Amino acid sequence: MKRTVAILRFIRKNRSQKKRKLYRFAFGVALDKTISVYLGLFTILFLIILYDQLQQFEPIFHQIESLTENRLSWIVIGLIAGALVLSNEDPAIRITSAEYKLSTLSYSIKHIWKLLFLEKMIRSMINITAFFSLLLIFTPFSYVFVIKLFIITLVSTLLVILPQWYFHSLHGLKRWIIYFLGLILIAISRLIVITEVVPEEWMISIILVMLLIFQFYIYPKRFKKASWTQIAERNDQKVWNMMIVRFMSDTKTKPVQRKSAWKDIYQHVYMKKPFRYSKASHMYRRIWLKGLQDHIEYVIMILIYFAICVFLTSFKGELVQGLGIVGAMFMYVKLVGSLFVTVFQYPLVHSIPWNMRNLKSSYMFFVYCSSVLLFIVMAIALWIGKGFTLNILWYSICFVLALYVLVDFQLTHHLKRFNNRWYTATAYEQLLVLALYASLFISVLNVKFLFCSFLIILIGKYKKKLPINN
Amino acid sequence: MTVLKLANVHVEIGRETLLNDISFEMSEGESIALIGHNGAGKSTLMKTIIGMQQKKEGTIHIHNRDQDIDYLAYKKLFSYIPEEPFLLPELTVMQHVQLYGKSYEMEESSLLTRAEEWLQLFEIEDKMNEYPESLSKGMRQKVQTICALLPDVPLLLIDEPFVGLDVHAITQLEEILIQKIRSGTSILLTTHQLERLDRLATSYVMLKKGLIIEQGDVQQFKGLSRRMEE
Repeated sequence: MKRTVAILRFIRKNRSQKKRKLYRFAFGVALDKTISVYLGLFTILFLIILYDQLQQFEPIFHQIESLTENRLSWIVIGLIAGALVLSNEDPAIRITSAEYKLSTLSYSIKHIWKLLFLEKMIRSMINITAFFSLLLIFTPFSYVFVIKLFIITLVSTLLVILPQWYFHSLHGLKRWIIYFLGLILIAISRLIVITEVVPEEWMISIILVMLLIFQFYIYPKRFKKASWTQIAERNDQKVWNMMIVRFMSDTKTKPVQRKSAWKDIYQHVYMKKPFRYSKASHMYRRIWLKGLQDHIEYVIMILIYFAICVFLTSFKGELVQGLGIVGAMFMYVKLVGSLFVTVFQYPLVHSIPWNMRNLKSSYMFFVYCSSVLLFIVMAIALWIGKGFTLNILWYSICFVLALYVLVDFQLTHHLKRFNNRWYTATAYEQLLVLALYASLFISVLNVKFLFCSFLIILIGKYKKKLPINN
Repeated sequence: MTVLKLANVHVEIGRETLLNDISFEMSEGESIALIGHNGAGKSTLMKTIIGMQQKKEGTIHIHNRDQDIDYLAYKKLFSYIPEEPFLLPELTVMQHVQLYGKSYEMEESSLLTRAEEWLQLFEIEDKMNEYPESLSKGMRQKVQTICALLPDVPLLLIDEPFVGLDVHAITQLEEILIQKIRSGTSILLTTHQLERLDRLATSYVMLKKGLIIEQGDVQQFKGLSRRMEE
């Protein structure tokens, strides 16, 4: 075991040296001494202002505290659910290819795993302690509350490491059954608390004890289905995913290949069947599905940003709401456009001719699907902002149609750029887009302008053209 | 008739020049071998022709279609076999075949006839409904090769055609390529297997550190290399 500790230390030392070197190089590109000093000063200033600002919201913090006190079991449930979801792509214990290769030498993978498991626990403890210390220093939460929260989070986090590792190696029907059972258990536990059969504190203890018992059940099975090469590959991506370095050096990394859920779906017998050759859209939808799945964080981010932007501004009056909705739409269109480009970067897709009409229409299928969600979000936000009137329906329809036209414009623009490297949108196209945004904004202030927006949408729908050579 | 025309192509990544002032032409039915040591720029040149690598200067035309201003039409005129297979893990072998067929606008019947024939020839006809991850690397290379050979395009770009293939597959591929050349397809290939040059290539272009240092007839090259050995 001592030899294993020594070799793992050696790997860690070299890895951190390499990372330090890369960070130094990356920061060296962006920061010089003067900027670093200013940045440091600004950070201190920011922390002081943050502290001051947070103290002003003391009543809100006390309100949050009293609300959370009765719902602490949600933290445990949330952490368990989080571990289950994360287990799709993160094995939790960092056995990278370097550690895995040690097992081909005279080191035991079981010893390596034990040490890394221990390391993960210590790291989690340090991170959680640091986080709650900051919470204690900067926020007006009471000591008792923060300590209670700290203990619950710490114990739950430590108890979900092993399940996350175990679930990472599971796939197929078994995984889905566990997810389903998990959901049922959560529902039952909430029902028990709501009906006051068992008090909240008791429920937390019950869940934690069950989690502890579960550890004993899965511990002997922890290596049974472990696919080491896949685990090593996944951990390599996690360990070497240095966002700042990537951003500074403008390096593209291979997206993490997700297994489990997606793999379960596409490896289904039905999905193996050849496509109907006459229905090209099925073929291209599969490629887009892969693209969306590879960039799922990005997709979720788009939807969350949209919802946040639309909801937060709905309380601040019509002017701000108008700006919020138009801003959210602008952001959505740009982000959906960027997502469209990602699939063309797959080497296989890049190397074959692009059937643009089919590629675009199959992508638009997913845009239509998301527009149902956006329709609901906008309708609720408008309801909050304007009260319950029939106009909300017209507004929502108009905004969703506008989104469709704007996304369509954006995609057509990308397609034309693909075809002609020097292509830029015409002044007419740019003006039309600008006019639509302006008209949508004004229509939030004055409902009569909705007609104007509908008119521009109609013009936009019939004026766009696809690249000529397809 | 000129199929491929490169004029003053210059490629840079950061401050490093990968290709410098590359110019050459290919006519119908001609087969050119790009040769050179590792890092000479052969694969970069291939990727630049495909459009995977952006060029800084110069123009590339296939059948007079400019890569910069008519890329969609340009893409339909070539097919590419990479050195390493890059199949999508979400599609089966047959679905890849269909994707290639649809992208090159092939008729379903001729696509299926051709695919079945070549899948049999390369001895992977029983793998039609398998995903790439359940195939060996050699099999994946075979699938990639078959897919790229399916369409009748004026230009075939092949990066190391024989790497990863078994002896039987190499012979079959060689025969198919010779047939393609006879029927008027132009082939640009990179290879380190110089002994196969005289069967497959009519001319050669030798690269060194991103520059063309020599080009000419393959027979002439064979003579030169023999003299060098002596």
